[in-house]
Amino acid sequence: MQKLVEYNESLNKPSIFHKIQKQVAIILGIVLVIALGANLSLLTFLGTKGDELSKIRNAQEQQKLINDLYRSRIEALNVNTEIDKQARDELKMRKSDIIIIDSDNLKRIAAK
Amino acid sequence: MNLSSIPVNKIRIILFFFFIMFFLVIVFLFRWQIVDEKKFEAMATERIKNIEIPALRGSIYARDGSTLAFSERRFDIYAYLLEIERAESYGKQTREEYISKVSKVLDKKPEDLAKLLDDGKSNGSVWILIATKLTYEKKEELVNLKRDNEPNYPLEGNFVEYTSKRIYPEKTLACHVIGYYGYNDISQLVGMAGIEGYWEGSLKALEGFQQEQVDSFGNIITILDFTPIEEQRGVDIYLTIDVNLQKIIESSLNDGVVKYQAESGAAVLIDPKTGEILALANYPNYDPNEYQKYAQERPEVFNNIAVNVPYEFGSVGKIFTVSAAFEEHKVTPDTLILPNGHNGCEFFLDKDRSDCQENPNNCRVCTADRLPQGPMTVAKGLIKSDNIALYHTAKEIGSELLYKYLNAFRIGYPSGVELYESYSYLKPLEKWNEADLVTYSYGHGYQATLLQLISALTGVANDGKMLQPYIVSKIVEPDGTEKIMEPKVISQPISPETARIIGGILNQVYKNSLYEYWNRDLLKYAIAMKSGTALVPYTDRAGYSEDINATYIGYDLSNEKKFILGVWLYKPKGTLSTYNTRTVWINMFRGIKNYLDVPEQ
Repeated sequence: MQKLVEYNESLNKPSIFHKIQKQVAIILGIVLVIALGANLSLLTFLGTKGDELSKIRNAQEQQKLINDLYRSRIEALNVNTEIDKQARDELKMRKSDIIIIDSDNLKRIAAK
Repeated sequence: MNLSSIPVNKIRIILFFFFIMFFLVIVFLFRWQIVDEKKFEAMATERIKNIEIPALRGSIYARDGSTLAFSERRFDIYAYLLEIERAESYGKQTREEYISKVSKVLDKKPEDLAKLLDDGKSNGSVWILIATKLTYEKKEELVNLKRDNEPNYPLEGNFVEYTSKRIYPEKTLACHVIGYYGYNDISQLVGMAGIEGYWEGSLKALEGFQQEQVDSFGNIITILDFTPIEEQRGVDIYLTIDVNLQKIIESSLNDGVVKYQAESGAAVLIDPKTGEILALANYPNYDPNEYQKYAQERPEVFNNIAVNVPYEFGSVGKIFTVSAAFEEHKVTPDTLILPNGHNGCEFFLDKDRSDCQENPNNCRVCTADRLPQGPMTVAKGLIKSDNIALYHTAKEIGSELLYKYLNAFRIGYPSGVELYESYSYLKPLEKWNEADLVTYSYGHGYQATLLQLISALTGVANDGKMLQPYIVSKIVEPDGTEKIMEPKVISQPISPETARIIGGILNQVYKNSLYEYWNRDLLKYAIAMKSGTALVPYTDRAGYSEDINATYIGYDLSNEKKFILGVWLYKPKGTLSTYNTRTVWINMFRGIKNYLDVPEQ
């Protein structure tokens, strides 16, 4: 009887193997919870940053387009004939201030 | 928690649960990665957006900084049929609403846009190009269209793609220098001809690249393992071309070619002190904004004949012969090279040879008018452009020295200008025959382009120092870094003293050419001038046609050495062709002299 009791006790008494099983189960559980939490918070964080990034990139793109637009407007105005015309019409410069006309050909150009 | 208080069976259940979980993970991984691999790969690909970041091509500027070519941002608009249909099925907007609003912005008839969409659909397309090269304002108008039933939300179905338009604001001006930007044989949009073609690698923009991941709602998920590639604008190129001088030269050349019924013409104006090309013109010309029209109708107009067509320039080459003779001290200007004069023609081979009796023109040298002349000095021979006098001058130096000096003037070499150019080899000395020394002596038998000729003559016009001709003065990188091109002496064929003597003789040629009373006012300028006329060879057989190449060159003899200008008319009509080419040169000189501030004597 005494031996039977000892045997039953030995069955209920956790072995080294059982202890390791318990430790592994707890560690896996903790890792699972931490991983899920971290994943959720990372996704939430990245989600908000992604939204910010979208706005920044859209603004950057729009700014680039506007820069291109202004640049091409300046280029279109920075044309010799256009400068010539503005100098004559708006600044009231005399023809000789811009280009000295001597030949018939130049007079014809000016007349155009 | 006391571990020993947890029953072993419960722990086994938990471990079994974990085992089932891991098993399920493996099962799902197997399904996702092996069984449904293609499906999930496609889904994942949709979540990754590869975005090209556009940049604009570099600009081209004239000497004064004014714009000759620039690129403007434009937009292509696509209608996405699936989105238009989906928006209609969700009750967001109707197809009619889309067509009505979009066609109004695009200035199209609604029925035309509807037909475009229907045709696209029947062809199986889902992306239909409905507008190309829209301006920024039009594009903004389009993307800001709202839906009728939800006025805060945009009209769906439009997608914008970046493109650009190359603009040449001065139209035909300097078109052969600038070139054009268009489609090549394999439908690539590239710079063609001129600066656009030669500098394609520098002018073209480098598009940027960016990769983004989006979630199932289309929002960006930030990723850390990809660095976007920055876009880079093309470099800006500044030319040595002076727009005002270019206008003058082009205008006179165009008038001359038309008036004297030449097939084409070219003119080159260079600063002999630096080698800067101040103007380079060809006629006929074209508008690079409409290159496609010319490509179909008259593709020959794209040819920059001033740098691409070597030709025989005739008596202008006598300058090289006399320069060599003076430099080698074989003769002086006063040497009586023809003590007994000539009868208009002279045999350089034994006239009793059978072949000479059959065809005497192959064995003798004649002057243009074939009239007898009295005793003649070297200077007079050059002034009168007498072929026989030049033949005798060349005999004094011999083939080897003439060959050496033609090489020193870089005849037979490319000019090295930053444009596509052609050149014609000078025949190697060992292949020269008996007639070559004769024909070469008066500038026939060898070829160069007009630019190569004018470049060679900078060696005379600039105290014996020959300058590298160049047309790009400055390159500006997108970050503002500048590279400035410097003048470069490439040869020194003759001494300053020889150059001065040649200049003095050619000044007499200039004075003699101003015999009309209306040109007398130009006598106050110290100019050296020389003409050249050569028959045009047949292209389909040996021999020469009746047509001519007429060339005039002239340069400033003052200490300031303001310019050297050359004009070439190809196949001008009439007996006064050479005379007419002189008129074109004088017209150009009248136009440029005050602008360049050419000093009076």
